[in-house]
Amino acid sequence: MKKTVCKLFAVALAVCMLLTIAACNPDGNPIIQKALEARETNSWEVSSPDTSIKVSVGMDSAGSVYYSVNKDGVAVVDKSALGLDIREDDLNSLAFDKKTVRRITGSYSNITGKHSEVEYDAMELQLTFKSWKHTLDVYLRAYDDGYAFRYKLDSAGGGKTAKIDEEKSSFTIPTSSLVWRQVYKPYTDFTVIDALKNENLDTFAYERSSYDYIPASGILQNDQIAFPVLYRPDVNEDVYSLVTESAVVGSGFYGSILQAAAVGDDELRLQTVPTPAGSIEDDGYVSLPFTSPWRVGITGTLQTVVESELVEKVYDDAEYWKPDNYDELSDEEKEIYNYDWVDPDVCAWSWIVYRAADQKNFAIHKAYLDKAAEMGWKYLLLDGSWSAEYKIRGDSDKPEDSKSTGNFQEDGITKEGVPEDWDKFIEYANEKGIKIIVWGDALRTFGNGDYNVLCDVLDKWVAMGVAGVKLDFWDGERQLRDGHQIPTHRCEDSANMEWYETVYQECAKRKLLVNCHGCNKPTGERRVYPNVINREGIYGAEMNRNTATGTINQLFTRAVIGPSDFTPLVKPKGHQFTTGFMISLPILFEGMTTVGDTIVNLNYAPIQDLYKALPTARDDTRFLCGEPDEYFCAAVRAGDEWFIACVNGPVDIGSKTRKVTVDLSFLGEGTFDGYLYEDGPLGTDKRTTIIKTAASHTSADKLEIEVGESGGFVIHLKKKV
Amino acid sequence: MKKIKWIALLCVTILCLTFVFAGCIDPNAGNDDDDDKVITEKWWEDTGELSFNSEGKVKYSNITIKLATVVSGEDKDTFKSIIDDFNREYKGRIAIDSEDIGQANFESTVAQRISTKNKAPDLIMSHQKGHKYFVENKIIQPFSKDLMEQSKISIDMNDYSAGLSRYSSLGYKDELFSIPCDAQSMVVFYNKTLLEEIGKELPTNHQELLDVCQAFVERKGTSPIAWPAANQNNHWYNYVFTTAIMQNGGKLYDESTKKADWTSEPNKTAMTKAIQSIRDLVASEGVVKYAPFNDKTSDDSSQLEFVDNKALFYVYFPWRIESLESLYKTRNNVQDVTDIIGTTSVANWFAMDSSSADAGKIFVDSHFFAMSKLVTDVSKKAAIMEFIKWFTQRTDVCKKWASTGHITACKLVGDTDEYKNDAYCQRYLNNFYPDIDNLVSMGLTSHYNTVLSHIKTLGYETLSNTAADIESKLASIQKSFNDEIAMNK
Repeated sequence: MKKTVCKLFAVALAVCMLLTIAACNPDGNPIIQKALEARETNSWEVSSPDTSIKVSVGMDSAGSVYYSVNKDGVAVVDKSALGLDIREDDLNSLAFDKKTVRRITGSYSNITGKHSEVEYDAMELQLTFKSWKHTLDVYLRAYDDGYAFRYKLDSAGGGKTAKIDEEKSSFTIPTSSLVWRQVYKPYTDFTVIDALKNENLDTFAYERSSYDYIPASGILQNDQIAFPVLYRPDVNEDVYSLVTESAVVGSGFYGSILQAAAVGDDELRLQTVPTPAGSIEDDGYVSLPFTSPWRVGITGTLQTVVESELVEKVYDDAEYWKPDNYDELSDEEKEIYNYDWVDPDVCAWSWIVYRAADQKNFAIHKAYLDKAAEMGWKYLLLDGSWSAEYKIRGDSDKPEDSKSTGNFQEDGITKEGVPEDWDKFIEYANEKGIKIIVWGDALRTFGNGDYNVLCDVLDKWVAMGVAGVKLDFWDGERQLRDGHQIPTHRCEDSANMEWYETVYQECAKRKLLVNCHGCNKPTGERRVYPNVINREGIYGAEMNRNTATGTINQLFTRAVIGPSDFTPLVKPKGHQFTTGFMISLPILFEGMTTVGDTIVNLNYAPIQDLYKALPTARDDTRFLCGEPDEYFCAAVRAGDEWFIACVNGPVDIGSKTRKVTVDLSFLGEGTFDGYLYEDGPLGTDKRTTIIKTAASHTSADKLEIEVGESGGFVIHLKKKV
Repeated sequence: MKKIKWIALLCVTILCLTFVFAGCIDPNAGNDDDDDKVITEKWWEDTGELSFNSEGKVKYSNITIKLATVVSGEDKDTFKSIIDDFNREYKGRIAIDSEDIGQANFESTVAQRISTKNKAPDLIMSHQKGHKYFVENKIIQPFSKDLMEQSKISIDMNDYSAGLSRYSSLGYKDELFSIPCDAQSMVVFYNKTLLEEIGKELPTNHQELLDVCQAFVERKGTSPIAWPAANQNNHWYNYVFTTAIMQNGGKLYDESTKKADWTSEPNKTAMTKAIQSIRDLVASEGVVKYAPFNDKTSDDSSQLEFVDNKALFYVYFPWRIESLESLYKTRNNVQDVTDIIGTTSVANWFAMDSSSADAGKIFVDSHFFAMSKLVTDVSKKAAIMEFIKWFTQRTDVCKKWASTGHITACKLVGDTDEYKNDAYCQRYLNNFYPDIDNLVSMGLTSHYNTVLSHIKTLGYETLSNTAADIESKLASIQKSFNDEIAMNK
C-alpha cells in the first residue's frame, strides 16, 4: 500500500513539474500548444467583402456554439444558438477541430427572377466540431447583402443515418424591433369533415393570410411565425433583416418556421422549428452525411432587402438538374437539360371568373386563348376540373366550386368556331401559338404521391400536347376537406419536400413548366429547376380578401425570396384596391405572370398596350422608394423597356393622396418615351378608370406623382432609338 | 368510547362538508339569473400606473393588444383594413394583433384560452349573445370607470343605441362589461321596376305588406317575397322569426328566470301573433303564396328568384350586397343596378299592431367588445379603451365598417350628417335600420344556443304545418326548452 502511494505521489509530482516547465515555455510543448490554441480560437468572425456585415461565432466552455450578426455596427442578431440535437449523440458538448475560410465568387444567369445576371461574392467560415461519434461543420457566410449559415453532419464511425430531434438555430432580436410577419397558424376547422375531425389533421396554407406589423414586444412565448420574416432591429437605424430558409428541396429535411422560444424584457429569441402542420409527426430522419438547408438573413436597407438575390445566391455555381443517367442519353435527350425550352411569358387565366364546371367548356377556353393570342401572350391555363372528359383524379365536381361570376354574353363567349374536342382544341392553340398549361392536385391526381401514377399522368398530358402544369394543394387541403384518404406526406414534411423534387424532375424530363399552388414558400429551387417558373404561397387575388397594406407588406417580404403567383386581375373584385393598384402588380410580383379577369376587363382599352408588353423575364429590378405598411415603388427592366410601378396603402387623415417621388436616375443615357397609367375617377362599374398619358423622360427627371388611398400607377418607358 | 368516536367522526364530516360547500359559493353570485348583481370580490387585477404626455393624454409605449374577433366572413378584409389604419395611426404606441376565430367555436375557444392562459386574447370582439357566458365564467372584466376618468377616455353608454347598450352591464349593477360596436340583421332588397309595375309604394306596416303582396301575385303570378326560410341550416329563424316575435312584443325567454315563458299572458298572445304574421305570408290564400316556406329553399334558389325578376322582395344578409348586385348584372346583362335594386327594412313588417312601440324592432346580431380578465396593466387597459373608442366613435372608421353592412351602434356617429350622408349608408344602411334604438339582440342569457334552437323548432313546426295548433306547440317546445335549461344548470 505504502509503495503504491509513493508511486502515485511521484507521478503527480512529475506531471506538475512538466506543466510548470510548459507554462514557462509553451512553444516547446505540443500538447500545451494545442490546448492554448483551442482557448485562443473560441471565437471567430467572418465579414462581408465590403466589411459592413460581421458574423461573430463563439463557443462557450460547455461546448455550445453561438453566433451574432451586426451591420455597420448595428446589432442585427444578438447572441443566438447554433447547432443540432441528435438522438444518436450529444452535440451539446462539442470540441472545436478546425476552421477554414474561403471567398466564394461567381455569377449565373436567370431565366426568370429579379435579375437576368447575378453575381455572388461572400466570405465563408467553415468551423468543424467534433462530438463523441460525429462531426458537425458549421458554415457561416457573410455577403454584402446579408448572412447565411447551415450545417453538415456526418458520422465519425460509419453511421448512415441520424435523427435530428431539434435544430437549435435561433435569431435573438431586441424586443424594440419592428416586425412584419405572417402568423403560422395551422387550422382544422374548415378543412376537416366531421368524421375526420382530429387535432392532428391540420394544415397550413401560406396563401390564406398576409403579413402584418407587430412590435417584437408583442410576440408571445410559443408564437409561431412563417418564413420569411422581416424586422427592423432599431427604429433609429436604416437596417432591416429578412430571415428565411433556402435549399430545402434536395436536403432531405423538412420545411421550418420560427417559434418564440424565450421572451425577455429586452430580447426575443426565435428558434427554427419544424413546420407543425403535416402528416409526419416525428420527422427529422436524415441520411449521413447530411447537409442542412441554409438559414438566410438578407440584411441592409429596404433597397438591399428588396433587390437581394441571397436566397438563390447560396446555391453558388449549382448546375441545372440532370438525371443520373445523363451520360447515357442521346444528344437530343441531353438538350432537354439545357432548359432552353423554358420560355416564360404571360399566361391567360379564366378560373377567377369561370369556375369548375366552366373549365370543361371549350368555348371559354377559346375566348381566353383568342385574347392571349391577341395580346401576344404565350400561355393559357386550364384550371381545376378541366379534365372531366379524361377523368383525371382530383377533379372537383362540388356544386359550390361551380359558381361562375362571368357573363358569357358580355365576354363574347359563343359556340361559333369552338373546337369540338381536345385534339381540335390543341390544334387551334398551336395555330394561334398558344401553349396550354393544365391544373392538377399535386397529391391526389398522382395517387397521393405515387411515382408510377405521376409518370403515367404526366406522359398522358404530354401526349395531349400540354406544355406545363399548375399543381395545387401540396398541403393536402382537399383530402382533409373532402374526407378522402389522407396522404402520408403533405405540407412541408421531409417526404413531401422529396415529392416536390420528384415532381420537378419528372416534369423537367418531359419539358413541362411547373407552377406550384397550395404550396410552401420558395426556397431557391429555381436555381436547380428553372422549369419551376412560378409559385403561389402568397395571399393573392384569388383569396379576394387582401388589403392594400397586407399586399404592400408582401412585396417587402414574401415577394423578395422568389416568384410570386399573386394572379392579379385588371379590375379589383373587392373594394380594397383601385384599378391602378391592380395593374401595378404584374410588374411588382415576378415569376411567370398569370393574369385573370373577365374578357371585358382584359379588353379594357387604356391598358392594352401595357398588358401586351408585360415583362416576364426581367433583366433588372430596382427598389425606388416605399415603406412597409405604407407604399412600394420599384422599377423593372426587360431589354430596353422600363416598367415603374407603385402601389399605395393608406393616406394621412385629411388628405386624399400621397405624393410619391420617383427618381429616374436609374434610366441611363438617352430619352425614354412611353405612358403613365394612373387612377382616374370611378367608372360605371364602381372601379377606378385608368388615365393613360404620354410620357417622355430622361435620367435627370424626378417625378412627383399623387396617388390615392389603395391606389397605384405604372409608367412604361422604352428607350427612344 | 366507541360511540364518542362515531359522534366525533360525524361532526368532523359535517364540518368538512360545510367548508367544501362554502368554498363553492361564489361571493359574487347570488342567483345566476339575477341581472342586478353586485361585485364584492374582484377576479381581475390592476397593476402599474398611467403615465401622461405633455398634453395630458395617456402615454403608450409599444403596447400590443391581442384581439380575438369573430369577424371572419366577407367582411374580414375590411375589418383587417381598419385594424391596419389603427396600427398606422398609433405606430410605436399601440398595435392591435388580431386573430379571427370562427363563430361556431368562438366562445368555447376564447374561454379556454383565457382560462388556461394559453394564447389568450386581451380583447374580444364577438356577438353580444355570448357575453353573458363570458361574465358568468369570469372570463372578462369590467371597464373601470375610475380608469376612464383618470385616463380621460370616456365611453358613455348613453351615446350608444338604447336597445343594445342596455346589455352592457351583463347583469352587474353599475358595471360596464361589454361595449356595443355595430349591428346587423337580415335586410330587404326590392325590385324598383316591379314595384312600380304593380303601382304600389313600399309597405310601412303589416297590412300594407299583405296588400302589396296580393297585388304582386295578381299581376305577376309569382311569390313576391324570396327568402331562405324553412331550411334548418339557415339563419332565417335567428333574424326574421325572432324579429317577428319582437315586433309583437314577445319575449324569447323570461329575463329573470332565463326560462321560456310562452304560455302565459301577455307573451302567449305576442308569440301567437308573431307566428300568425308569418303565416299570413306563407299560408296566404291561393296557389301562389306570398312567401315560400319550403325545406328545399336554399340561399341560392331564393337569390335566383330575385335576380331573375320573379320576386319583388329579397330578404337576405347585408354583407352579401356586392355578390347579389354582381349576380343581378350578370344574369340581366346590365351595367348598373342603382335604379333597379332598392333597399328597405323588415321594421313593421310583422307587427300585428302597427301602433305598438315594439312595431319597429329588429332582432340583430351585434358585435360587442369585452376585455379579458387577464389584462392587469392599467396602461394596457387604457390602450384597449382607446382602441374601442377609436373603433366605435370615429365617423370615418364607422363609415368604412358600414360598407360591409354593419351599422354603427354609436349615436355620436350615427346621428352625424357625415355618416348619414355617406353614399353607402344612404343607399343601404339608413334604409335597412331606420332607428338604431329599435335594435334588440339576445340579451342576458348564457343559454342562447338553447333559445335559438328552440325558436327554430317553434318556427319550423308552426310554419311548415300552418294548421298546427300554436298553443300546444308553444307548450311542448317551451317544456323542452326549460328542461334543457334545467339540465345545463
